[in-house]
Parts: sequence; C-alpha cells; structure tokens
Amino acid sequence: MAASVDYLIIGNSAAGISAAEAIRKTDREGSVLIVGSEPHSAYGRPLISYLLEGKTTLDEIWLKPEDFYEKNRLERWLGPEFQVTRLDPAAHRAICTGGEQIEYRRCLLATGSVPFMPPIPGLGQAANVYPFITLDQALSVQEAARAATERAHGANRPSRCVVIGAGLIGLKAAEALCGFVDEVAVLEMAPRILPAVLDQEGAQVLQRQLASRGITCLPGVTAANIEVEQGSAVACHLTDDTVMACDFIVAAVGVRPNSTLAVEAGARQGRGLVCDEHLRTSLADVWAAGDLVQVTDAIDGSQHPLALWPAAVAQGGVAGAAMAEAPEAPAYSSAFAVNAVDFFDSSLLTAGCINPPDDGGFTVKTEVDGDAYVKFVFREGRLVGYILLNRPANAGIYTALIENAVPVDQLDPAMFSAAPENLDFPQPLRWARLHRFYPTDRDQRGWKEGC
Amino acid sequence: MKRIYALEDWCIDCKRCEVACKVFHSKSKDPVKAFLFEQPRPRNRVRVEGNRTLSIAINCRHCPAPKCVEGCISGAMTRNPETGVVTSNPEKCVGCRTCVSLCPFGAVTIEEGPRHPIAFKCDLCGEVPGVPGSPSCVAACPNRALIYVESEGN
Amino acid sequence: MLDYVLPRYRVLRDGDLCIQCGVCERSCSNEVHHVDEELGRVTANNGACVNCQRCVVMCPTQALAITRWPQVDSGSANWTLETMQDIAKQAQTGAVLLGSMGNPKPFPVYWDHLLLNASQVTNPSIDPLREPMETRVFLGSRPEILKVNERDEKLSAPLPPQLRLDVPLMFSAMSFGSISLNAQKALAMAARELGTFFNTGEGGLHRDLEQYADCAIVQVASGRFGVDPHYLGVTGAIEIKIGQGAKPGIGGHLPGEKISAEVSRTRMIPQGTDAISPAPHHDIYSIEDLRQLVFSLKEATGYAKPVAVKVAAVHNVAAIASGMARAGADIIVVDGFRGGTGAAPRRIRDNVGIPIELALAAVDQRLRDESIRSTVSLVAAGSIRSSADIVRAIALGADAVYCASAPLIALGCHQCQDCSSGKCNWGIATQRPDLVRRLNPEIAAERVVNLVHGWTHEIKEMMGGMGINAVDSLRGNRLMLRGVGLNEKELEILGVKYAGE
Repeated sequence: MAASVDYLIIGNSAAGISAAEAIRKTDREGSVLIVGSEPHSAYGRPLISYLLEGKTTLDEIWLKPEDFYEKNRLERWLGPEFQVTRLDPAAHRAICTGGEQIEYRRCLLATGSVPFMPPIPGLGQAANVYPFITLDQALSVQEAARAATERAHGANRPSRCVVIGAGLIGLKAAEALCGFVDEVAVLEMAPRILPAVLDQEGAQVLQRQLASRGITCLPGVTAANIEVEQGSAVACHLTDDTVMACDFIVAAVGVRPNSTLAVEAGARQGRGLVCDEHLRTSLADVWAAGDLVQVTDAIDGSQHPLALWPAAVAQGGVAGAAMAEAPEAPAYSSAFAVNAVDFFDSSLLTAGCINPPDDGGFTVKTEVDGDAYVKFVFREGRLVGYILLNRPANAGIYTALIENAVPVDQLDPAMFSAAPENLDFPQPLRWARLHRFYPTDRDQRGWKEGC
Repeated sequence: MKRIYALEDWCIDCKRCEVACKVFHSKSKDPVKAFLFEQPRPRNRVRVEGNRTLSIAINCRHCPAPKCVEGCISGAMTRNPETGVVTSNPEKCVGCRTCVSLCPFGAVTIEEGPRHPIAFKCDLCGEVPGVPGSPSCVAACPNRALIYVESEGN
Repeated sequence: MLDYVLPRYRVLRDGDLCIQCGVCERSCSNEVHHVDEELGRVTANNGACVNCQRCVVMCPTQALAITRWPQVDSGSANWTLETMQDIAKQAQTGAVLLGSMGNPKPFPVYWDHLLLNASQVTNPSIDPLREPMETRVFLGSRPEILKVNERDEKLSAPLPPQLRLDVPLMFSAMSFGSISLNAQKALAMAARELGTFFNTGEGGLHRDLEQYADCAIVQVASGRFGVDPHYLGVTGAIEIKIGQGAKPGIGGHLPGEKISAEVSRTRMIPQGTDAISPAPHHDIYSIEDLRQLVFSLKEATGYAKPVAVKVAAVHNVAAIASGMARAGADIIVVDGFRGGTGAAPRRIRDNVGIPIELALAAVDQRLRDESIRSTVSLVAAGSIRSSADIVRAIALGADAVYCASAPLIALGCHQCQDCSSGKCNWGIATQRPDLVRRLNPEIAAERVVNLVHGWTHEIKEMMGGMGINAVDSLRGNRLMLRGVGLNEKELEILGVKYAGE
C-alpha cells in the first residue's frame, strides 16, 4: 500500500482528530490521511478507567460519531502495521512498520506519550506486568484481574494487584481495578501520592479517602525488585524491605513524549519537541501537537510538555489551522496545566502552580473543611494556581482568573472562601464577561431605546 | 445565534427561572412530579447568583470556542457547528469535571445522573440536542431579566 | 404587652401543589413565607400578610391563595370585627390609623347607577372599525370670541395654550417618593407612547425623566417641592394642587427615612428630613390669592402652557370651581373621594369628601349656569375604573379624566392598601432598591399602553353605538345617560333622567 496525501496526521487521538477538524474548517478538498497504531477509531483515552468502572461502555467510548471520518473525508489507516517507523522530511515521506510508504505535503506528529518502564530488576521478565495507557491495555488488565481473582478465590485467598506509580494514571488504574481484585496497593517513590498535581496536605486527605475504598497507597516506597516465577511476577520486594505478594502488576510510573520519530529525523528536542507559535517543528513541513510538544509554562516560563487532553485538543486546532493556512490562524502561546480527576466520590481539580518554591514571592491560602481541601497560590496579586479537593463548584472561574491574570484586588475576597461566582467580579468586568456579542442596539437594561 | 442574556438591573432573585428549567428538563414536565417524585431529581441548568440586593441568572454562554468542548475527554460535550449550541450527551459523559474546571462562568455542574454523576448545562431547551428551542427560563422570568435575542456573534 | 390585633389574612397553601421551591419566600418583603428545611414544608406568618398577592401570582404551581382570617365577629352589626380591630390597634399604639389607596367603604358608586344610550332605527350607530372616530381632546381655556382673519384663513389672535391628548385620559399625580422612579418612568413612557400626560405629583421631576418632560404635568403644591424655573419651563403644563380626593383638607407627610439621596435631589430638600406639605398653601387664603399664584406661574412660563388647579371634591366644590375659573385656571381638576393616596389618615380617607360623579355634574352645571364652562377645561379624577366610567364622566361634563389606580393595577398593584409601609412587593410604592427593581418600566409601560389601547377601543365602540364619532360631541351630553336605582335628588344633581324616561 502506498499513498500520496496533502495532509498526513500521525496519531489518531485528541491532537490528531482536533487537527483534522481544524484542517477541514479551511481546506474542504485536500486529502487527509490519519494513521494510528491502535486498531480503533479515536476514543477518549482517559476513559479507559471509566470503562472498567462501568461509567461508560464500548459503545459510548468513541470520541466522535460513527460517520465522523467519512463525513469529513478523512482516510484512516489504523492498526499496529501502520505505526510510522521512519520520517523523511526532505522527501516528504513516512514509512510504516508494514512497509507502506506515505508521501505527504504536510505532516502532523500527534503521537502522544509512551509509558516509561522503570528499570526495576525482574519487571521486564514478567508477562503479567501491564501499562495502562491504551484501550487494549486496559482490556488486558481487566481480563488479567478477573482471571487472577478467580484463581485466588479458588485457592481461598484474596486476589492482589500492585500498581507502581501513584500518578494520575496509576491511581485511576487502581480505582478501576478495585472492582475486579480484592486488594490494590499503590507504590509511589515520591513522598506523597499524585506528586505532580497535589501538595502534601491534599495528598494525605485523598490518601485517606482512597484507603476507605480499599486502596492502600504507599508513598515513599517503590519496588526494589520483582520476584518472577515461571515468567510471572508473584511478589514485589519493596524498598522498605517488605515483600508484597501480587497476582499482577500495573506499571504506571510515568510517560515520556513519543517523539523518537521526529528526533531521529533530526528535529530539535528539548523536554519535548521544540515548535514555533504555530506548532511547526524544526523539520520542514512537519508540525506537532499533543503530549510530545514542549510548551511554555504560563506561570514560570519554563519549557515542558503538557500531557493533558485539553492541551492536546487545543494544540491540534492550532497546528491544523496553520497546516491548512487558515486566515488568521491562531497562535499557541503559553499554557498551564488544568487537571480534573475524580476518585470514587472525591473530585480533584488542580491548575497552574500548586507547589510554589519558598522564594518566588508566592502567597498561599489553604483551607481544610471535612473532606474538602483547597489551596490557592498567588503571585504579584494574581492567582497562579489552585487545588480543589472535593470543592469543585465553579472551578472554571478560578481557571479564568489564572488564564487572564486578573488582579485579585478587583475581586470580592469571599470568592476564595466559597465557590466563586460571577458576581465576585466588579460590575464593568462582570458585564463584559457575561455579555459577549450582546446586541449593540440594546442598552444594559435590555431596552432597545435608551431612557 | 440567539443567546440568552441576563440583566442584573431586573433580576429579583425569585429563581422562577431555576424552577422552570428543572421542570422543562424533567421527565414529566410537571412541576409537582418533577420536584416531589422524579428520581433522579431533575436539575436546573440556570443558576441564580447573589441575593435580593443583587442577583443575576447564570447559564451557558454558548461560547464560539467553548473550553468545555475542547477539554471534554469523552466527546460528550459538543458544539453544533450550524447552530452554535453547546450540549452535553448524558450517555457519553463520565462526570470527570474537566468541563467544570474549564468553564469561565461556572455554567456546568456535575450532579447525580441516571447511572452516575454527569454534567448538566443549558441546552437552550432544545427537544433535539444542538437545536435551540424556546428557553423556559426566559419565559418564566417575570421581569425580563433574561432575554433571548439575536447576538452579534456565532 | 399582648397584641390584641388579629391577622387580617391567612395564606392557603395547597400542600399537594407546593413544591417548596421558595419563590414565595423570596417574593415577600413582609417575610410571611418561610421554607422550613427541617420540617420539609413551607410555613406562613399570617399576621404579616397584607394580601398584596405577589406570592399568589409568582407561585409556579398556583399552590397559593389568600383568604380572610376566619375569626367571626361578635355578632353585632355595630361592633364589627373591623371596627374593634381598629380600636385594638389604637389602644396599642395611640396613633392615627394610616391607610392607602382610595376610600374602600361601601358608599354608592354612582357610575354603576348610570347606563349608556345606544342608537336604534331613528339615528344610525357608527361602526368604529369602518368609520373614523375621534378620541383626541384639547385641554386649556377657550377664548370668549374666536377672531378669524378670513382672507388669510388664520386666527387673528393666538389661542390660549392647549394640551393635546390623543386619548381623553391622563395619569394622575403620583410623586417620586410616594411611588418608585420605575413606576413613574413606566407612566412617562406610556404617556409618550399614548400621546397623553403623566403628572409628577409634588415630588419634583427626576432628572432621568426630563426626556419625558413634554409629556409631564408638574405640580406646584403647598410644600413647593422641586419647584424652580427649570421645572416649570420644561413641562407640558403646570398644576396647582390645592387638595386631593383621598385626603381633602390635610397636607402630606413623607417621613425622613423615605427621603433618599435621589428623592432629596429631586424634591430639593435635605436628605433624611421629613417632607411636610402643609394643609393649606400658606399664600392662598382666597380666590384672589389663587389668582396671584396662577398668574405668577403663567408669568414665569411666558403664558406658553396651561395652568391647572386641582381640588378635592368637597361640599361646595361647584362654587369653588367657579372661583377657580375666574382666578385664571385653564384646567379645573376635581378629585373625588375615592381617589387613591400613598398614605392618608384612614378616618380622613374614609369619611371626608364627596363622590366625583356628583361633584363633576355639579361643577359642570354651575359653570354652564354662569356661562363660563367654555372658558375652562374640566378634568374628573378619583377612581375611574374602566372605559365605561370615562364615557360616563365625559357625558357628565368632563373634558378628560385622570386615572391612577387603574394604571397602577396594570403595573401589578393589587390594592392591598399598604403603600405607606414602603414595602410594596410590586415595586410601585416603595423606594427599597431590591423592590423597586421588580418593576421593569419596559414591561410596565407596555401593560399600561395595552390597557389604554383596550379602553380606547371600548370608548370608540360605546360612542359609535350612541351614533357619536368624537369625544367632543359626547362632552356634557347627559342625554346619553340614564339613572337606575337613584332617588330624585341624585338624578337632579347628576342632571340625568331615570331609565325609561
């Protein structure tokens, strides 16, 4: 199989699909080919844990309606044989595992992240160690969990699973597996769970809530080596010298940008691919969007990838518009992390800078109220980050404060002690926020003729 | 597109809009059944902020580039490109609250759904998702503090 | 001290329909309703209810009605419950009883004893849908002789100033202070739309309403609030208020707490001080004194606008009206005892003055007898309830009528007669910002315009039925009226024949 297309999109998830939509907004005619190594239509990747929990189904997990690809005339080559293994920017050519060659005019790399396998002795030798990134992996884990529980109950003992890594993926996997195995333990090398999105105090509150649901979190502990019998991991020897028997392991210590393809083709790489404001890489006619791109942090100015779904969608839109040469194509400037995640009945929303350094001129306001824990981080009179554990109401108003760098002294201070409201903004700003596109022939009272 | 605008000059904090919204979005469309008998309780998607001194009804602004849609991990939140109406598909929503963390107006809430908590937001009272209907909050407002008018943007 | 006063009303809540949404609680400035989360039901403090019916209208499920307090009286037709309650109240407070709106007592309503004529066979009725019908009237004094330059087809001497009304109805005086600015604004907007006038009362003209000044009649009353050359200069007409039908013979008293910054600016008095309108004008003790004020105002405004004088309908109103005409008034306004007020001592409201129907007939007759009727316009006020009342008033001799209660009812007033509390739930008789906001003048003006449009259609229908095609032809045409249930004396004063005659 060979193809020659106007637009080649490598990666069939958030960024790739968003880019395809953006291309189609401007260019209705150009041929678009989406290639992806997973044999599925695009699905909500973070939904895999929800799928295992039964909060969605294999019918509903798909990101777009069934006719999406046809309606937008997006050709798709999906499956492991279509994994692109080599990119030749000079020749405008990509080559897949199966040998297929694709000639393109413009190419988008939207290959996301790949799980990082920690160098723990034994981990690589065991067949029952699973990552938890893709739909197929999730279904495999589910199958493994069911089988393990059946076996364990046959042997009159509880089934046990160890999750290595208490990041968002590890904890969501743990939550999902709760319904399939009897005991779930989560190991975390860092001194607290969710080290990237929570602080010490919040982590403790959440850890207690997870414990009440039967998930044992062990921060500050990880596996030193894995005991393997007949090709299967049977126990983890932990760094605190304890031994934890297990039926299988989920490895979720982290992800790294899946940028090998571009790097091998000579692209500039920092902590992710280096791109211009329209997300064009240093390679000719190659753009990138999603987890593999390094972006400027809106709060501290640092460069790092932002492996988050909304960021990938936004970046896909920017890259797609640029690729199709849309008039007034938007630029992608800086960004900051906004995370929304829920565990059982707990909700956790975080954004921006949540663990400020002591010397950066930050002020912090925290509040604990029962199951709720909130933290606000301010700098130079502006909100720069928040943690909202079990107090989610209207959180987007805080996000907007960060994004628009709204001076806090304009606002009703009460908005940081209870759910924020639109009325907390001063009247002119409130009007401007809520009345975008308001008909100009009416006044602020809604009257057509002034009085 | 036609948008609902709230006018705080006239909002009197009666919350009839909330009642009408709940009733429209109930199974029975009958206030007594909706409030007292239906399970799960129907939810209002318009929310009155403030008190008698100053109040305003808040509902979805149906942004042209909605952050809730951009952030939705399940594809439940969509914007109809023809009508501009932003709706959440209750079948697809998993209740992750990404939309809550992104909506600049607090116009999306996560509440108990038929099976698990899901997102609720203004759908302009369309019978078909994405197609605007005749907003019941506007009809219920006794003081024209909510108007449904052609806006100058899509 | 134990309060002997009983509640007047009781809230009837249909438990099957109440959805505990709390709209009633949030709608009531008297804090009658309370959603008791603990009990899981809505309770009522019946004693605080004034029967304004805001909650009844607002309730999304129509679960509410207000009924009288079920307590029976003593069985005495003399010592009625109401009489005894008044005594209980005064025994408690030692104060004058206050009341609002018009006299509610069951005095005869003469309008309801006057029936209209219609054409049959001998003269044709007119279909207002096919034929032109004139509802326009002009108010002002008419010259004794009209001098016309026939060659130029022009008047050789100018006519005295006239007010042009497209409908024979104006909105009577209600001051900013007694009613909210939004209520006044609604009437101003409606007046502009309808081609008629609203009246500022003696509260001055708020700067927001200056754009409606050409539709305004401004009052000069005994307190002289808000009066300056600008005030007199911008409006359509000036009205000297001598008296008010609801409280003849007494002045007004707007307590200091109602004199907000805006009221203070508009009335030109210090904020927080009591606004006291004396009972008499201290410079008017005779018709001659009145003439001085009338001509002072005419001088001040270059004889460019009519000056009206308003009196309450009292015993010798006909003679007084004659004096007013001779004092130079262009328009005479007679306000009957059923006219409304923002606040009046109840004994005055309920017992002083005479019905407008009799006063109007008497004044019109007296002015005719003295051959000066045509030198003035005559406006009747004091509870005009419908288009039929307008037709009857015009047939009795009025040029036009003043209406206030009816437009207020269009705005939402439910005649609870609690205006003086300042807690009007309809946003009309209040200055509380949260309550004022309830009256969106845009909606309110539309409702008043609708009402007057409806009335105008009805007036045309009734006139057409009589074979009359202009209000001018109906004026003083008492042959179009017949009395029923009236005695000879009443018929004589009204100047109408008995039905069947």
